[in-house]
Amino acid sequence: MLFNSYPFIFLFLPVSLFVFFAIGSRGHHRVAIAWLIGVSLFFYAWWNPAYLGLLLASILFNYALGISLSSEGHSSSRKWLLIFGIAVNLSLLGYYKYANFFVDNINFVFGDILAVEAIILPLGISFITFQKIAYLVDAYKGETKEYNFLHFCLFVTFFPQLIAGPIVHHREMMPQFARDDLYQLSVRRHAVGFTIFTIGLFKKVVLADGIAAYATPAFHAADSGIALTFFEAWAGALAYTLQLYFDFSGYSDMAIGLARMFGIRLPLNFNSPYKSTNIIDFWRRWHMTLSRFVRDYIYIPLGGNKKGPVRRHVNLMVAMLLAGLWHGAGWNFMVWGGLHGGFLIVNHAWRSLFGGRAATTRMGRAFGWTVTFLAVVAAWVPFRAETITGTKSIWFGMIGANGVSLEPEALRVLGRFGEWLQGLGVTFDGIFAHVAGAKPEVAGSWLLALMMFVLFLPNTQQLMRNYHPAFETYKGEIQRLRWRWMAWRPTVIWANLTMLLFVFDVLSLTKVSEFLYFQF
Amino acid sequence: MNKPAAKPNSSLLSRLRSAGPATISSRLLGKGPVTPSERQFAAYLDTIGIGAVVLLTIIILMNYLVDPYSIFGSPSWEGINANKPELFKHLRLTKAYAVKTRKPDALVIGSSRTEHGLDPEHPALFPEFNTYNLALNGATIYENLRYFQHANAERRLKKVVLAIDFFQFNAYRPNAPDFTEKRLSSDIHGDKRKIAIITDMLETLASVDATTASLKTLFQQANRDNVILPRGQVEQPDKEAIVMMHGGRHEAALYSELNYVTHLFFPRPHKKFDFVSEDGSTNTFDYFRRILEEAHRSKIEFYMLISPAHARQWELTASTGLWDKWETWKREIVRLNEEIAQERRRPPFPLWDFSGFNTYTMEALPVLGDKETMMRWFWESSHYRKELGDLVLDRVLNYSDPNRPIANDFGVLLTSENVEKHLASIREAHQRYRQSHREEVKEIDDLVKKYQPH
Repeated sequence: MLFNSYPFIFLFLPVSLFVFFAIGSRGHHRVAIAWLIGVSLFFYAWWNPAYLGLLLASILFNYALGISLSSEGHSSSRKWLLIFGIAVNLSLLGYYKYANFFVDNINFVFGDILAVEAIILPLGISFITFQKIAYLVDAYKGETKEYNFLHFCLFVTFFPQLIAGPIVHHREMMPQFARDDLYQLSVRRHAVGFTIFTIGLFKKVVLADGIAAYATPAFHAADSGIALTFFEAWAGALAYTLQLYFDFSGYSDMAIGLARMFGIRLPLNFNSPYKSTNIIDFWRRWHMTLSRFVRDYIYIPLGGNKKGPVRRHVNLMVAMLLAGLWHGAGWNFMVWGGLHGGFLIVNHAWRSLFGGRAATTRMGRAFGWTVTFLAVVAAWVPFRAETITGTKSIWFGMIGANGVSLEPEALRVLGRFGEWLQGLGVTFDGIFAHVAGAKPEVAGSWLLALMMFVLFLPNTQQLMRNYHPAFETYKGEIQRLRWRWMAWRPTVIWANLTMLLFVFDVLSLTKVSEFLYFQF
Repeated sequence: MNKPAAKPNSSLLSRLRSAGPATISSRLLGKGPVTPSERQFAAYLDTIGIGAVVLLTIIILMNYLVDPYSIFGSPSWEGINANKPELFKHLRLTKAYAVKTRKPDALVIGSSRTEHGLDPEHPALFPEFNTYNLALNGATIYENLRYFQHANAERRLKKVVLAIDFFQFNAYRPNAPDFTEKRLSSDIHGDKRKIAIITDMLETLASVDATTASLKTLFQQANRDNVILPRGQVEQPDKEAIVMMHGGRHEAALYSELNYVTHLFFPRPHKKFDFVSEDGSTNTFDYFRRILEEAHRSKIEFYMLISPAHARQWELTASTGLWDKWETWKREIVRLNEEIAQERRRPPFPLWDFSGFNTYTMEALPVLGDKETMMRWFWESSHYRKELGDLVLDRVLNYSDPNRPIANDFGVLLTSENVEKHLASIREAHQRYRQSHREEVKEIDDLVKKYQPH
């Protein structure tokens, strides 16, 4: 089930909230938790009931393993148990997510020697696997306490974070489930949670889906082998950059808001990443719970920065390549991870050479922002394109190698100047000649408006700062608002704004397609 | 969370009553105590809950009553919602529902030429039949097929006039963005099926698009650029003035021709013209075949015609290098018509060709910059006026009106016997046209040279 759907908003959410508090406030805490697990499983099964068994089996397996890992015993046998547990989780992920990719590559190199049916990826398996590995590792280290089975089930299945994160850590979730005031109906939590959810829904259905109307056809054209011209390529890359941010951060906001309605805090996942002035900073602001996991469970176990500068850079690259592969089974994700690994190495080298002096001046920060943003935009291209051809089409287009094209009407309007441009190789096939249904003025205004949005507006958690909207991964990262009057409070004005935003969200869940045939 | 939770059963009214004037003013100004009370949070949630329900109800009610896409059959009030300017952008939605409610037993189908030019109330079609103009602007032949099947599933059709255009058979032209299979009452094999209208209902009652459409309808009652008549024909009462404002007939012709070069003949992104797509997934003659097969199966009185267009259009066809393909297209249409009839052991359907160079299509075009002279038969080189459409229907349906005689050279009944001779005569007429209209020919050739994709 999707958060941005009618059945979720108007049936699933109200019913699960109502029953949870109806049971919980009468003192039946375990029944309330069981209810929450039940609706979470229903939420998961809505998409594909066949994989429900898989989810349940994996919960039982990991819980049992966690218990034996945290009990006293021979350290070597516990170590093997841990390796076994991680291997089982990874092979499950490997089978569902990477088998097709692996077979395709073998077949590509050695000819068609293997045959395998297309495997459908169970929803959220990447997120769930990470959470469980972290749990097993911590159980092995003795950092987990005796966890209640129901609480463990809820930790894995809790629907707000089940399919797309934030990637929660048992250490921050389990204690919350044990709190007694969880079951008290609290208007405060509902007000805060609903507001965050409404903002997140707006980011998804209005902003992300709005700009996707340009990004999708642009990448589709590039992937089908068409060489995009300068403006098409830039608009496509920028549109996707914005779409992904609003989509994913909107989803995270919705998750945080929904969890809050049940009295649970989730970790912060996005913190205005496109305001970053360097790549290291970017990774402290983008998909923060993923970078935290990669740091704690890949980079540091590899040795982190403790084994000299060369090993440190190798570790960084390995961690980023794996992070790329985690996003999806494809070479394009490896390219993306590799690029970011490279960016991070350059960033660290730059820091050790100049000690971050440039960042103190205004010009330095502007330069840093520009370089960072361009690098991030360029790296999203292979992340989104399904083929190498698509990536090349957009990258070449962005540097002008596929030519520049203007509107046919411009040739008439510009007269002599137009013909001079034509002589230089500028064509007049239309600014967005290869992008079906795109209008330059519409796409242009969307891009401009959304850039302003990500660069100059405060983010959700800044607005909600006084109400501790989420766990901070790095202390103090939820910055103060520059304009304090903007801070959210339960006032009449905020209530009406949120109400209008919610109504607008609901009305934006669906669209009427239109077709304007050329005419006067 | 040390404050006591508000009692779940405390009503909104009692909360409002207990909130003194001080609380209310501080709430308005947002300068409440440092930690707002539970009561304030409760009031916050009440405002959102009640406000959202009220606002959504008002919006849905408004969209239902204004009915901007004309699908609920809501009453029509003069000066409020009688004129629906938003319809024109959503014809595929509107016409699909019009078929469901009107259940026509006779149709006129085709592309925008048909939509503007062929009158469903022509005396040979109406009132004997409940005729509807189900033509769709810019339609691919696939869209024509599906809407024809939709109407035939809603009610067995008795009489159909199908007007076809060359560009409709380009396999690289996608269906319009507002085309969707989901709302059609027949599957691709012509079998009736139940359809879910929930998506269309949600879209047209509770969406931002529908709401803006309603508001535009309310505030743009004077906008009569495109009026959709009750029987589906599109009328453009202000078109004459608009065309003149935009630079006159000649300018309009050039604009339309430019659109043929950059969009209709060579649509983005492939910029190609072919009857079968490269990957073989689309074969437009196959869709045409399905129309004829269903017409035979349902024993419909079926007429076909190739639309007239101004002579400049045929010069454009030659100049873009599509002339041979255009001839192939006609041969194939003729062949399929006879082949399918033979398979079904029925006579082939009458197929009339109004294209080429004749009394009407050679009508003189006013010179560039002339913003006063109108044309009698055409809007520009692609779209003909209803006046010419009446003659087309007179010819096809064998109807004669003493007030409007038809020139003898208008309309040729095509069969496999005369098709080659007919094509040769159009070729000759084209050569003569090139001789006698050197200026116009050069103008079109220049336009093609400048804009044709390489």
